[in-house]
Amino acid sequence: MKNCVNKILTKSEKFDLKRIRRDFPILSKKIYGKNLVYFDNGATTQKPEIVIDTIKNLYCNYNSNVHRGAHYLSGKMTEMGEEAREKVRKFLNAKYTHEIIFTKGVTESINLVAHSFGEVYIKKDDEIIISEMEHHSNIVPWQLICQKKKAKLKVIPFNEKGELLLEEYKKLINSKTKIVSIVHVSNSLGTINPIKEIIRIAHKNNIPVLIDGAQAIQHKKIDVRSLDCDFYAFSGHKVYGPTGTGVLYGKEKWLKKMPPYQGGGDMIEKVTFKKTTYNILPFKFEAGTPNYIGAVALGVALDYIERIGIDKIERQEKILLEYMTEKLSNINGLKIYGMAKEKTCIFSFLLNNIYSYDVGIFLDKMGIAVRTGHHCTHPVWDHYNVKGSVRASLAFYNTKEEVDFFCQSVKKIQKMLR
Amino acid sequence: MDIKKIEEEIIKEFKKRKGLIDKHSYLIKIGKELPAMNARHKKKDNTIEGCQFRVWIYSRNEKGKIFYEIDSESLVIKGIAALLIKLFSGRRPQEIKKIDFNFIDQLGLGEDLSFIKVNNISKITEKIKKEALLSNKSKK
Repeated sequence: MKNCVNKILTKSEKFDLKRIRRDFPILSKKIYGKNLVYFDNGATTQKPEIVIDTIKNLYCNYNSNVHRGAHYLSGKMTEMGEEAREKVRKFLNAKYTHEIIFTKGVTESINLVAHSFGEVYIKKDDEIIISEMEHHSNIVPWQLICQKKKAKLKVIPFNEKGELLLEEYKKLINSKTKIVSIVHVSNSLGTINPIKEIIRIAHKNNIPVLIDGAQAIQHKKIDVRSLDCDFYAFSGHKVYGPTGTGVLYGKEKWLKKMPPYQGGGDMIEKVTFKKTTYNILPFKFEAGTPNYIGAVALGVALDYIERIGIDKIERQEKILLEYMTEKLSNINGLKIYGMAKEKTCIFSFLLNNIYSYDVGIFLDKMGIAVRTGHHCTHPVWDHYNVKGSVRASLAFYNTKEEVDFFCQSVKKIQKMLR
Repeated sequence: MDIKKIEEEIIKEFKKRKGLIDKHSYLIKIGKELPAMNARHKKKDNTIEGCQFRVWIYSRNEKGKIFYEIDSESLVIKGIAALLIKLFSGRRPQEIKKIDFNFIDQLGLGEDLSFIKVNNISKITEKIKKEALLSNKSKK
């Protein structure tokens, strides 16, 4: 496996966009006979060939269930799976490998914490703080635990630019607050939240913090020790890895105290009908056969972006952010939602009074993939009193030429549909 | 007019338009021409909440024939609604029950239609048929 990775990856000192685009087979695809412009990276990122090849190679040559086989393939697969866990640890700069729990994505990671942390630490009348810009996956799991425990959800509002109001956050904190769960980067507005400050304020009051990193992990260097967050969740498919993979980082001190999320194989130490004792971390939280092939491929995806360099990715995306912001701002009748000072390459907008879905349908016919609607953030659009937006979300493999074509297409649609 | 003939007319009209953009522009055109629904009829019971857009369907029974009004936030969907109205509106419940919607597949509207067909259009056609059935029952 290692040889396979090294053969395909070539370390490039220079950011060679043409070379990088060739790593992603889908980017050369034609849609309705037109070049694909993939601006739906917020929904999922495309996969480099090395990730696709890894999945095929593992199924062809190594597939075997992990952890419990007494044979070569099972041992090999287990070793590779655990190597992937170690890669994730390094990527996040976590202290221990057992602080990395494999899940099927951010949604499961947050549900795990809401359920297991909530079970022990949240009681009647306690409070949980989230923000107005959360994805539904960082709202509903907390609502469920609130219903169960008769606890309350408190919400940090944001201003018109889409920036969280930290003064309001400070006012929400009190002795009843049991956890703060905040999105690192808003999937609808692109806002990069000041999570370090949010964590610092919470910790001053001895309150743990979960960070939803679904839209941050692919854009920025994440150092969980420097951030000092208690939990950090991300999805593999948003960081050029396979779907159905995800990670929950949790500080050992919390994970040890939290009860299991699901019961099943692998998460136990000893089962009797009278009593069951649980496995050690991280396996206590990984009931059933894990997505081990996905986990290894996720490790390969992380290797891939480390080879390119997250700093170079950030630089390229900043260029695209500035370029596209300027271009879109010059289109009369186009309104961008989310103009935070600190933001990523996510552009939510509406065009005159044209419904977002209609804009998306016509962009699609021009070969451009975007998302339309509420993007699983109903409260964000309630804030602006609109029914969702068109969302173009870029990644480091996108180009200025694609931005030009996109803006020309938007102008054409504006003329056609007004 | 015979339902099959109307379907054939619709398909013929779409075949005249070669590209996907032309076909969708035509949908927008007929969507814009569709008379606006009376705001009073946009009640919760008449609403289909979709992931991408809302659709309102109102029906009334006039001498045993069902007349439909359909509206949506999306002009593309309003265009499809205009086609459905052409096909359904002013017919007797027994006729409406028998209509199938496979003609939509023959319009050549592109891959995205499979998504809205499953998520939205099927809900619209289901509601149209349900209203026809209810109307028939209440008449009896």
